[in-house]
Amino acid sequence: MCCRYANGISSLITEIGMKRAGQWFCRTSPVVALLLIMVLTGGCTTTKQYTTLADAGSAYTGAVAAMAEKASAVRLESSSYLLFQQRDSLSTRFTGKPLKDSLRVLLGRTNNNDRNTVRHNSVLKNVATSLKAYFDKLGALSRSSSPEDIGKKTDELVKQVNTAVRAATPGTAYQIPSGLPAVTQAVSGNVVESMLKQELTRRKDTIDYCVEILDSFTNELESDITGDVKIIRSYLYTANVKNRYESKAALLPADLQSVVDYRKTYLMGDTASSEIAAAKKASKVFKDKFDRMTTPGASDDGVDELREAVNELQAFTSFIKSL
Amino acid sequence: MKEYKGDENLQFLRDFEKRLDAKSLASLIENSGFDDAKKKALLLQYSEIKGSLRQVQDQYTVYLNLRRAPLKAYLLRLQDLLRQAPPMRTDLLNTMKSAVVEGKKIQALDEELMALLSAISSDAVSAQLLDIFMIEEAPADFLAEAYALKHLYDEKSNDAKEISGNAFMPVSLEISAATEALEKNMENLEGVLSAMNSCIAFLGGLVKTVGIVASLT
Repeated sequence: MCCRYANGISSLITEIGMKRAGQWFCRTSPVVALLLIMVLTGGCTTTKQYTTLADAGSAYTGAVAAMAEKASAVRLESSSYLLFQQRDSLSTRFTGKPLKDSLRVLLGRTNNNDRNTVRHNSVLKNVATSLKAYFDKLGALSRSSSPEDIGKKTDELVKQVNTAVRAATPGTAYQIPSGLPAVTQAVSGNVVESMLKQELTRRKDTIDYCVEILDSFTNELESDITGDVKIIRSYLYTANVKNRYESKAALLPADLQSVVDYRKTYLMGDTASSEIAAAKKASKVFKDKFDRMTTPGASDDGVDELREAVNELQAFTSFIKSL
Repeated sequence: MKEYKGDENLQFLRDFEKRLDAKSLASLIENSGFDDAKKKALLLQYSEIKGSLRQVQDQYTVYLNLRRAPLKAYLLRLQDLLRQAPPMRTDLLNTMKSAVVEGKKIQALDEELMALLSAISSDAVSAQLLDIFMIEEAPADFLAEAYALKHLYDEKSNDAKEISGNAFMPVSLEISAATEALEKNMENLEGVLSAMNSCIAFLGGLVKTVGIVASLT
């Protein structure tokens, strides 16, 4: 569609000839000339596709940032439960000073390790956030209403130019058509499209590299989160169901309810793994689409698939925050 | 697009070494204005980095070719035993004795084995819920090994994150600059719009003036 407009403009310029009027026109309005050049050099992918791609990039990096933040929270919770468990275990083997020393060493070592984990996750979050900022700006550019306004202004400008040409050379036959979609729509669409295409193609290697790093982050965070969530669930089940149920003491009504609630939660299963798998699948759709859109001769299909990926990644981000 | 996982870490190291191009570096150093001693020190540092990278590649190759397969088999066996019934208790206790020693051999960047280590250690520290200890509780030695294994996983996971975080550093400036440039593009677009408004105003005046001149001639 856009190529058709570009060709339309091109043939229009040839057809009109624009000798005297054209020279005057370009000299008078370099802005319009620049816009026409951008139209002629613009790509064929629609702005909407770039918007969806930018949304997918933003959703993907946002999901990684959310994972990094949650990984720290679940680590601190799971390591606290492990500290309680180890305290119980050490209490059966040591007493007095040896017990106190062992607990002090254990707490110090765990704090040190967790501090490192929080620091590393914070770095990962910053990396993901900085990439998210990039995709957000890309999205903002693709959504900008300025090109559309520029298209309208171009039309207005063309009318003014025609009036000026007529005024300068009365009886002239040269006239640039105004009010045609070929002028306004082509200018408005292709300004941004050419910018986006150029931007993504130029950054392809860097973005590919960053996506590789984000993939590693995702795998590392996945291992962390699934392991820590399992420990939290096991500890809560043991404390609230197993120990209470096996206790010789009579169960109070509140205990009974607690046993029912925790048992239900535990046996309903851990959904984190399946949610992470769905998010990884969605991120793959983004990466494939990005690859296609930045490869010469790339096809324009797959926007619906990409939009689904955006929804999937946004749902995952909400889920991971709810953990 | 290239997936970055498993044994492709080796390819990543090779690519990294290639990026450290001797010619470009030599030309940079030559034009740097540093004195000869500084230039010599930088070139020496460069050759040391190259040497270290080759060493790491060699080590990773040995890991992939010789160590990884038996290590993976051991971890899978341990994971399987943790899911077994009480009759396999003795097997599990015996296998678990070398868990930390074996776990230390895992390369932090090996995502598949790291995921296995995470799953095993989180199962082992939750021994109270394992079927295999349903009749007789897990002994203290087993639990101590399980906690040590979880600690080992946490340390290795931090190492892997440190490497990934550092890998981003070379491109972090470019990403910030690209983000700023996109913002500038938005500003430019808005600038074009404002320039067009001026053009229209200018043309309005011009048409009026030229129109008057044309009517006079």
